[in-house]
Amino acid sequence: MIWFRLAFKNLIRRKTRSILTVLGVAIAIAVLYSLFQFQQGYQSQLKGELGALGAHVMVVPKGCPYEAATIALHGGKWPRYMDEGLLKDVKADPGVAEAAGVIMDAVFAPGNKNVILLGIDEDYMKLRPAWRINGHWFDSDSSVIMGPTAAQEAGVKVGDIWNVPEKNVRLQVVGVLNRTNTQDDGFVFVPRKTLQRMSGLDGKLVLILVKARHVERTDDLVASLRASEVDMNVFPLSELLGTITSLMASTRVFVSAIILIAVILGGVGVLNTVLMAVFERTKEIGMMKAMGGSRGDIFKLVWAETILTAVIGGLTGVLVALVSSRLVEALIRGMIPYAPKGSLIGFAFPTLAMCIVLSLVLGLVAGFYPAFRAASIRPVEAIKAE
Amino acid sequence: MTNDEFRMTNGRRLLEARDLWRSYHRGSETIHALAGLNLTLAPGEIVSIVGRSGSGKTTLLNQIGCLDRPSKGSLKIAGTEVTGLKEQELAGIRRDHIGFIFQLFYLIPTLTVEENIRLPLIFARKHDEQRVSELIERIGLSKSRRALPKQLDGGDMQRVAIARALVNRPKILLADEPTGRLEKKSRGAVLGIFRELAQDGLGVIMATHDPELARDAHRKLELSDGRVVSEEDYTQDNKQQKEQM
Repeated sequence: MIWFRLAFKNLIRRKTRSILTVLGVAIAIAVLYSLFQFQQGYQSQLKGELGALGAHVMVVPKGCPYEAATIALHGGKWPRYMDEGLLKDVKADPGVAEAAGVIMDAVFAPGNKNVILLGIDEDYMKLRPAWRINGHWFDSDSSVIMGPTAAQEAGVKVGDIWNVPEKNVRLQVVGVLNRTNTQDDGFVFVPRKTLQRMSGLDGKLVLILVKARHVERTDDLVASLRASEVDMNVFPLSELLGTITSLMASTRVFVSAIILIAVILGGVGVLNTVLMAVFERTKEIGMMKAMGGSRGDIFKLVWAETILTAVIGGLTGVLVALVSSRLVEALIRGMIPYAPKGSLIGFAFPTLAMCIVLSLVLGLVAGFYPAFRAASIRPVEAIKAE
Repeated sequence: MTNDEFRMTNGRRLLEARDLWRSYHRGSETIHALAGLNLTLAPGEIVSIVGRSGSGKTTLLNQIGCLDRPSKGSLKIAGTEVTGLKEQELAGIRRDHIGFIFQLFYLIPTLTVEENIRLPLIFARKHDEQRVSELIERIGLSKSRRALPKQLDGGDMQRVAIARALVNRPKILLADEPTGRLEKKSRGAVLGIFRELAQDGLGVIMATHDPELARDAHRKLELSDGRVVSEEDYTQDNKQQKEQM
């Protein structure tokens, strides 16, 4: 500990330089923490979102499956529809336990807020056993159930009349969902026929969610559904998760290269700063040796300085990453085609530990040469200066 | 203590240098910074080394302090022949037997007075707070023990440097121009401390340009071209002076 105390005092002698060096490491570690945590958060949130769908297989119109997945998960307007008749065929498959047809639309509420409308029926409820409705299920074509966030944003409660923006239709709020902490919280649920009529999409569906009778035989179900119809895309959600995850994983090499460069630059910064400090303190180091400091003592002292610099930089980096997580998330979201909702960069002890260990390794590696140089200084230098 | 008493048997000598040489090569030329120098130091003896710049004063201190190795000759510190020791062993000799004082003090600016004094104990893996406190009291800086060097004047800084040099209870104190940066008043105080230390049995060797300081030693050696060209013994003079006072 004494070496670290001495090392810390040495660092504060050159405040500006030390702060800049710590910042160099902090930026590298902040990038590392943010990107790593983003990838972890992305995967777990995506898994959560897909799980919240309550289905094992998704049937969507022909087209880009990722676009379809985005619509299925986050809702929206998608100009591709399937015939409602397909729902009957899907339900008829012996491998299907439940199947719910969904139609979707999106309107803009005052204040330019996007309101996602989902047209559903009782089948959808079967995929949502965890739903608790404050109020009751649809009792007429003009009733509406709202997710808690959607109700809050629309400023309505159970019993109120809600004017559907852009549609000139009045619906009565018969229920508000208890918070589910899923994408459902932000949706507005309308009887399917009502939304089809409102949107001029009678007899059309955007999505069929399918729950398999035997989860372990999902692949057989998918094969069976694919064989039966040609106008729809059938894919298991596990495959979707795998595909999106592997898409993200393919960027990992690139991201890792950036992180590696940032970390190396941080390390070079530490090495440079400590080496400069060693050169400046040649006489002082010589004096320490004159007082009986061994090569090992001097090595430890200088090494402790680099380790401290790197670890303080690492901790600062994690702090910076956490403080700036919203901004970084927004930036990354803007660059990738699909990202789950919810917070992706959060505090995670394993990631923190990884960053600290990496900082430590960085300090150990970057500090080795300056420490070796310092330990090799001949004590006679001290008196020579006289 | 008389000069004869100082030069007692080999067994009681703190230092014995015999035919000490330190040579450097500059191109084809060989420079002898020390050329067959002999020197002894007894417990309680203060020896001043004088001579113009380049005469070999600092080189001699480097050899005695085990900071550099002689090219030839024998050097015994506290009875141990040090010329063939490894670097690690030399560090041990410096730590256990020798204290250094420099003209520029070389206190660590971010450490307080007591932390600076404690530093050699850290290198020696010792914990002796009593010794630190005792030295702080002895140099009269009890009230400034938590002060940083920049808050002290030159005289006080040199006192701290002396305390730091003494904290590991060395047998020999080497001082290179110890009063070079000090005012007259502080110079006297430093010499006073040296005398007290010598009475406790410490051997002191100081290289100086200050003739007054040099005369206040028990012995003065004048170096030129790496050799002792004259030696004066002030033991009796100083004794008589003290008696007259």
